[in-house]
Amino acid sequence: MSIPLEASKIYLGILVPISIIVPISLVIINYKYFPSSINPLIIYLFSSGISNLFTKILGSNGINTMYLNHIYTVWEFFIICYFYRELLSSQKIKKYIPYLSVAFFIVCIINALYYQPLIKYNSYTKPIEAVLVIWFAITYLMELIENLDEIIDKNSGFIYINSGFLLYFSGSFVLFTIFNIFVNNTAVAIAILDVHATLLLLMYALFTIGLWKFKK
Amino acid sequence: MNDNIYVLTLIGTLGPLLLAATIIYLVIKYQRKLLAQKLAAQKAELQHSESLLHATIQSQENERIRISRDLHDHVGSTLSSLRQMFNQMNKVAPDQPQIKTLSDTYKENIDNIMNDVRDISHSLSPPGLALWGLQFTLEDFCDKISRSSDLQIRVTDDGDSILKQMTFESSLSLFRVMQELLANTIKHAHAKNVTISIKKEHEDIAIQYKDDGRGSEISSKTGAGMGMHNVESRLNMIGAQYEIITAPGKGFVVNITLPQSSLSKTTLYE
Repeated sequence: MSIPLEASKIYLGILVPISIIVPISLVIINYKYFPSSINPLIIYLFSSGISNLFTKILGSNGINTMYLNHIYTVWEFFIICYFYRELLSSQKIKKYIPYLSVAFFIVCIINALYYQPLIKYNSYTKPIEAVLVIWFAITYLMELIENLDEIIDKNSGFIYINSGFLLYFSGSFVLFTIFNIFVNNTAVAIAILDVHATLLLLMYALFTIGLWKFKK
Repeated sequence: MNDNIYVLTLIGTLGPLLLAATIIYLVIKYQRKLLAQKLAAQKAELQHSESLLHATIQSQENERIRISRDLHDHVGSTLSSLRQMFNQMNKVAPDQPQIKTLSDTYKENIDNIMNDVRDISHSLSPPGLALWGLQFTLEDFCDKISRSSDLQIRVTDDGDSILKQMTFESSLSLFRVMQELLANTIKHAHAKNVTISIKKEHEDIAIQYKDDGRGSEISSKTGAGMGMHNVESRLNMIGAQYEIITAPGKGFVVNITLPQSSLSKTTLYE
């Protein structure tokens, strides 16, 4: 049922990490067409790209990359918070987003210090992050219904990007939660990583479509 | 054991993923539906405003026709009777020169009033329009303007007398449009020549109004004054399209296209 190991290595180690080059290239080529509110996403893409690169280099040298995952989780949530702070219209939510990101940072520190050390996968904080991002994404969709002046076609770029976040974090939620349980079962762990990589690929594809829409 | 874990992992992934995809689909579908309803409401409101405007223009024209008819039939005939009475007075007292002088003065004044009443009546509702059609009325109107100003107006009809087939509604609307355009030219353009040309283009009637005045910045329908809004409303009423071509120092051109289907419209005026 799982992908053959060699194919999985190529898929997880090369194809999916490299696929981020597509939205990054689009950002570089079409930068002048983007509104300023897209800047957090651009930072997110570059951060992901750099993170993928470091994970690949460290992993190739046999170094545990889990501590990088802990740091990246905090940074990723910060950037996503910044993105939704720019995107959402509700002043009330915008006001609480910085507090939420600080609270999440504290939870991550506590988790790393007392529950899941830096050498272990952060399966407590990742689902929390996923839940919060799903909430942001659904809030944006609710705002779309309430605010009819924001015509769908005009914002279709943001709708694709938001859908990318929503689908990735919804699909990955269970994977984040169960990963540590099966970390010693290589076949299952690789299967989980394969599914996760597919979701990541889906998110990058939706980001690419969203970024492309801005030019149109 | 492993197979079950794979299935569970897949279900655990696909379940929330499908749920999220469904939410996105429903939200977008619902927003599109709301948007379509909003657009339909806006369209209905716009149509209502347009029909109100059309009704206003129609009632204005009906009122003009009624006043014009009253002026001609009642005031005109009363003045004619009055003039006849002064004629009779002359006949009754032919040997009194003072009465003759006085009655001649009154008759002259009555003649002046009758001319004024006729002019007012004609300006309210051009009498030749129903009888001889737009081209005759337009030429007559342009002649009068040319005689009383420095403006030279030329009307050319290459439309195989297509204007004669035009309904009274379309004729009157186009006549009012030409009146408005000429008034604008006289007031603002400082033009010396105006050309109004009528042509048949395929199945449509193409009318071009052109002056050699100083032109203006307005090159689109937006930003036009009240007069041009009236022009637009009247043209919309008869299903005509128009475009304005103008620039400072380049004169003023209005191209009007009237579909032939509008010729068969029934008249809305009494």
